Parts: sequence; structure tokens; C-alpha cells
Amino acid sequence: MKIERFGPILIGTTIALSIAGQVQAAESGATDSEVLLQLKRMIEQQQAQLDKQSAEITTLKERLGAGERVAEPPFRRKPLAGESQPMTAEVVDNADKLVTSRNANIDVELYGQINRAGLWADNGDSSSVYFVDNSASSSRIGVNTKGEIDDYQVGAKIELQLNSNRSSRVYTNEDGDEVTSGDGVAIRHVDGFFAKDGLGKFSFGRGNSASNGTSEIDLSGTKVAAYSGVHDMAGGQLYYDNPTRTLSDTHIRNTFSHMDGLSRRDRFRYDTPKFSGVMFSAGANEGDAYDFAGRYSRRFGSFKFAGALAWAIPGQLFGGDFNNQYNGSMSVLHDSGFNLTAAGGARDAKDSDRDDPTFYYGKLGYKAKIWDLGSSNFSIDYMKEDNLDQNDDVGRTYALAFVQDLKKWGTEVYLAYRNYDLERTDVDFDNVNALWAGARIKF
Amino acid sequence: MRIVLDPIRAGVLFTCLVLPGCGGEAYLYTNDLDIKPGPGLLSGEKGAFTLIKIRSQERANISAQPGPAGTGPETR
Repeated sequence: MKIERFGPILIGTTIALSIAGQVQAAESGATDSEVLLQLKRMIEQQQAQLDKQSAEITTLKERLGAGERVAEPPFRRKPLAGESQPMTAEVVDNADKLVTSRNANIDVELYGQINRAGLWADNGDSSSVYFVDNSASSSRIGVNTKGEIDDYQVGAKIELQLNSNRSSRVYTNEDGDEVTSGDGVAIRHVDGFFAKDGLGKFSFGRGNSASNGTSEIDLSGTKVAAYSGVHDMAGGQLYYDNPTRTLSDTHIRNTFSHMDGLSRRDRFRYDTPKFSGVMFSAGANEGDAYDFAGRYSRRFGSFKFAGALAWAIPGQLFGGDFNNQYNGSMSVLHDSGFNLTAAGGARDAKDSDRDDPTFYYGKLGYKAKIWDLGSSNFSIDYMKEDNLDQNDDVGRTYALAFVQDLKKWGTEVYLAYRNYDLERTDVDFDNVNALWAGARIKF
Repeated sequence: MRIVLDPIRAGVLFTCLVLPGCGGEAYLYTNDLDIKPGPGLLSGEKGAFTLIKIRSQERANISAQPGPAGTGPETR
């Protein structure tokens, strides 16, 4: 608000009051001297009021200039009799700009992606083509809210997964009919948090368990097409037993798992602050499950390194069949583009007759900069899994993957081939071959 | 109490103890299977649509009348 604007106000007010005073004087029949005295007193009163208001405005300007928030209600002067409308409107307009009281920085953002692919799969007897949603990084939409109140950060995240023909679920049954995963919406995150520098972060609601993601550390740039969660590509497919010419009821996803902590759960989670690249997490989860994890990421010269280790007590999760689960992963990326990734895990079975399931995974990759569009990422990986579905099961899988990043478009296009092999006592399953091509588009 | 460590656990423990002391520079790893960092096709550089953005430092004009650029809440 500008003080200079009170000049015209003062003049206008004076003229208006003079006219009003003269009219009033004429009507009452008062003498000229009495009218003049009355006008003088009124002008003096108005001047005193304006001086007082001017002082208040000066004070407010000084406080605003010092960055102080103004919580008082906006100044709004009642229009005087005879005061012209434009002057009144000007005062009101400027008064509205003084409404500045705020307690927090607040950001509310909408985000999401679609990730669709064409998947061809052959179980040794027959092959099918499916149009799928990529289970490695499903199509989703979410709202992220963050705010700062004093020294605290608070926020919430709501994220929904839009299930439509998930790649890890689709298969063809013994009648040759495609079985889809159906449509539906799954809740990924309904999660709130508060955090403070030096104190850490507390999260509550449905979201990542403390150990989630600890088997998925990967710097290759080909994760969306091929990563340690090998069952995400064609996990719904059934193995075919060639000697008996029968389609089994064993899905690929039953025989391969990357034991990625406790996934997403309804939980309470705490993360320590990061110090020298190290962060620890602990969580209490649904199903009487608890988990602990450590994460580390650092750059050493021309190398980027990231790794994680986790220990979970699954409780009633995973069918309640395991006492403990240990898993971890690490990845190294050199500035040349070459990268190496490894992961491993084991579950401690409660049943003494049950062998402990274990897996290990390795990946070699190369990130090339062929075009300005974005990096061109290549990788080859291998995984071995033992005893996951039954004792003496040995699962092996390998994949070749290519992902072209189209950075400006927020898009990745990918192509990958994967071979699944399961050795099981008394049966001779054919290998399952799968090929997919798709795109992940972040909107 | 006797503590026995097999080679793998000893290696993991050694790595955990030694790596933080190795120096290096800060590097933040993000799991891009969640949402890939970076721009979006429609949302542009930020990669997300800003629904509400309020800064306490600003002289925010929350009245219906728009104020000068940069003084009001940003809503897209």
C-alpha cells in the first residue's frame, strides 16, 4: 500500500466534507462563521485520523520489509460520506494484498506413468502373445504432498496401481484360453510421514517396508525390462512337462523370487539420517512381521556405488513358513558406462524337513551414449534359485535386455528376451522362453 | 560367549564397517522402478503436475483477485 495515495484521498475527503457541511449549514440556517468553525474542526479531526492511519501503515510496511508475517486482519477503512467510489475500491484492493499469513511451505503434486508391453511366451508346447501391464514397474497414478512447518517436514503419499493384465499373472491354460489377471486398482501407498534433520524420518500407513527394494539395487538402466525380480516378466506362465505331455500347475512366479524384503505393507517405519552415505531403517509390519535394513550409496571418483542389506522376520507373511529372511544387493557404475550388479538372499524355513530357499543374481551392463535422445542401455543377467517351491528345485534364468531412454519425453522403450529353466525331481519341464517390447511413459 | 563368523558374514560386516570410512562424495540412489526421476512427457522438466504450491516467504495473495506475478498460490 502506498502512502502517496492518501494525498488524493485527503483532498477528496476535504472537498466532500466541505460540500456536505455547506448543505448541512444551509439546511439548519446556521451562520457562515459557525459553518466555517464546524468545517475546520471536522477537517482537523480527519487530518488527525489520517495521520494516525499513515503511522500505522508505515509500521506495517516496515514489518513487511523485514520479512515478518502479518497476521492482523486486513486494513479496510469505511468510506466516508461523499467519498468517491474509485478511491474506495483502490483502498480495498490494496488491503487484500496484505493477507499474507502462512505457516508452511506446501507442495501438492500429481504424478504417474503407464507401462505397457507386448509379451510373447512359449512354454515348449505352445506360444501366446499377450498385451500386458509391466509388473516390474506397473502403471500408476499418485498424489504427493510435502510441507515444512518450522524445522519439520511432513507429508503424505497416495499411490494407486492400475492393474490390467499384469505380465506376472497372465498365462494360457490347458484349453488354450488366455487367462488374464483381470482389472482392478491396488493400493500401493497410503502413507504419511514426518521428518526432521538430524532426527530421521517416521512413516506410517501403507508403503514401503523398511526392507523393500533391498534386492533391487541396480544402476544398469535396464531394470524396467530385466532385473532381479525375474518373475515380473512372465511369472504367470505354466511349465510344460514334455514326457507326459501335460501342462503343470506350477507357475514361474512360484519358482523364482528375489526375496525383496517384505515388499509394501501396512507398517510403521523409521529411517535414520544419512551419515557418510549410510542409512538404517527399521519397521513393524502387518502380520507380526519386523524388518531391518541398511543402505549405502556413494560416489568414488569415476565410480558410483549403491548397496543394501536387510534382515526380515516375516511372522505370518509368506505363509508363516519362515523364521528369517536375509537379502541384499549392490551395483557399481563406472563413468565409461560399464556396470555390474549382484543380489542374493536366503530364507530360514521353520519346517526341519524343508530346505532353505536361496537365490543369487548377477548382471553385466553397459550404458552407451549413442544419441542425444538419452542413454542406450544393454545388459545380460543370470539368476539361480534353489528350493523355493519344493525341495531340490533348481531354477535358472538368463536375459538379454535393451532399454533406450528418451529423456526429454519422459519415456523408455525396451526390448528383452528371457529364458526360464526349472529342474525338478521326477519331472522334465521344458524351458519357457519370453520376449517383450514395450514403453514406460511418465506423464 | 564365542562368536563365530563364516566368510560371507565376515565379508559383509567388514564391508559395512569399512565403506563409510572410505570418503567419496555424496550420491543419492533412487529406485527408478517406483517413478523414474526426471522429466515427464506432459509435465515437463519437473516430472509432476503441481496442484498446489505455497511458500511462506511470499506475500501470498489468496483473494480471488489475482495479484502481481509470483505473489499468489500457484495452481495449475
